[in-house]
Amino acid sequence: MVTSSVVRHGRGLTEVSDYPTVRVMTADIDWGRLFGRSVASAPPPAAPSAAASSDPTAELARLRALTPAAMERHVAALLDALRQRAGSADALELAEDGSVRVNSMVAVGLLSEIASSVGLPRLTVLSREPHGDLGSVKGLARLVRRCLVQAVAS
Amino acid sequence: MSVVLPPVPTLSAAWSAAFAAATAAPSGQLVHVLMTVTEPAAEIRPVRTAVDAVLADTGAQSVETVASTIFPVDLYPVPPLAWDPELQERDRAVLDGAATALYDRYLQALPLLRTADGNAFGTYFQRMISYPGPGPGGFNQLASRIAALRAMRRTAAQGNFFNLDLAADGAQPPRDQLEGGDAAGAGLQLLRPGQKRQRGFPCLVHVDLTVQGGTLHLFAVYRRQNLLSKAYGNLVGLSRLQAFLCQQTGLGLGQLTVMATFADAERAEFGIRRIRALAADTAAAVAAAAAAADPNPDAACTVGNRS
Repeated sequence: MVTSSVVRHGRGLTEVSDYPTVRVMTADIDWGRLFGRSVASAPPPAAPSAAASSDPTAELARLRALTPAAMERHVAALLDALRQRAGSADALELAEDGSVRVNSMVAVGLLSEIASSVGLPRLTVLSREPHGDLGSVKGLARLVRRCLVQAVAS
Repeated sequence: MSVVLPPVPTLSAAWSAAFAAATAAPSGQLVHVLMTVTEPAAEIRPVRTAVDAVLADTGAQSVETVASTIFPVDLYPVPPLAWDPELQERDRAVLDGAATALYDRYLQALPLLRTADGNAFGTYFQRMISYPGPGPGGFNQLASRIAALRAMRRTAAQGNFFNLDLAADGAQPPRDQLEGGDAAGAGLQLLRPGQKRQRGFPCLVHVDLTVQGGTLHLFAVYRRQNLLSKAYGNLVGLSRLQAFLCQQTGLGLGQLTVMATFADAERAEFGIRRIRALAADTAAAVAAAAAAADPNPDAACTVGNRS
């Protein structure tokens, strides 16, 4: 049985529809809710990205040397930076493996940043990866370590 | 027989009505289904929860994952303001920077995204920002429409704009059309010119934008809607795309209409008992939400009633 309540993403929607003038969009609209997200009220500050590495070879060597736990911390730090840049204030949820849950699009964004930081166009082929690995920080860390080893081997 | 569903205030109610209609059809399938959401950002969360539970049970993509194929909200640093002709330079930079960040981050992720099952021919959002693709370097339809709509707002030349598919032939429109009001109501083309495949991507073939009275309405055409595995997420994604366009142009959020030329309740994939149970549960959730929003059912409708 499902219980119900209406979630209105965006206080002021009715005002928007009732006053369709050129000035309908005012600062009191909660834009994050229109996108189904909690966002910071101020513009997001600049946060470093993994792609900022100036020496891809050195970065590859550094990442390859990370232990599983250190790689997990690295991925978590990248996730933090991505959330900062996106101004996201959404609460973090835990995945089944106990680490932070990651949306699929966020996972793809993080993997692409890491690939860029080590000078690769991409780290892996998504259709060959277990779906579960893309859903959590721990899974992503495992995937990155595996891919980096393979990247060097090939 | 066409199925024109009555306009409803939430995307959840629109999805529920379409799903219930298809589930009740003898074949589990319908042709020419039209659903209209009057408040596209409004959602009845228990409906999504119920849909997600079935999707998770069967290993299908979640609502959020499907939604991100239309609009990857996680890559968009949502600014706390909307565009206005008199916006300060600093605020305009924040707004434009957010859109640019969205495009750049998506294009950076595109090589990896294209290795996912079903993405070999491109993705929906890629076709919106790099048409026709499948790689980067194509025509950014979203940026073009935003520029045109802003130009229209600057001159206050508002009116009805219909389907002006400037990008349909794959060529970049002339610059004067990009910056002028003529392009303001143009849609987003998702079908690649000369595409010969009869099935598969893209199911969403066109997004039409209509501006009337300072409000932006979005009309999406699907040549196929898989109602359980995709349709709810598609509605969420389209509503976010519409919100993005409204924020970037300062236009009001109008209605969201989806036309599915073929809609399938997916009996074969999910099982008839499961989809019947889901249809009943979600219809009950929608009814409960409507009752909670309007405790006096005899009163005139006050939710989403806009003329």
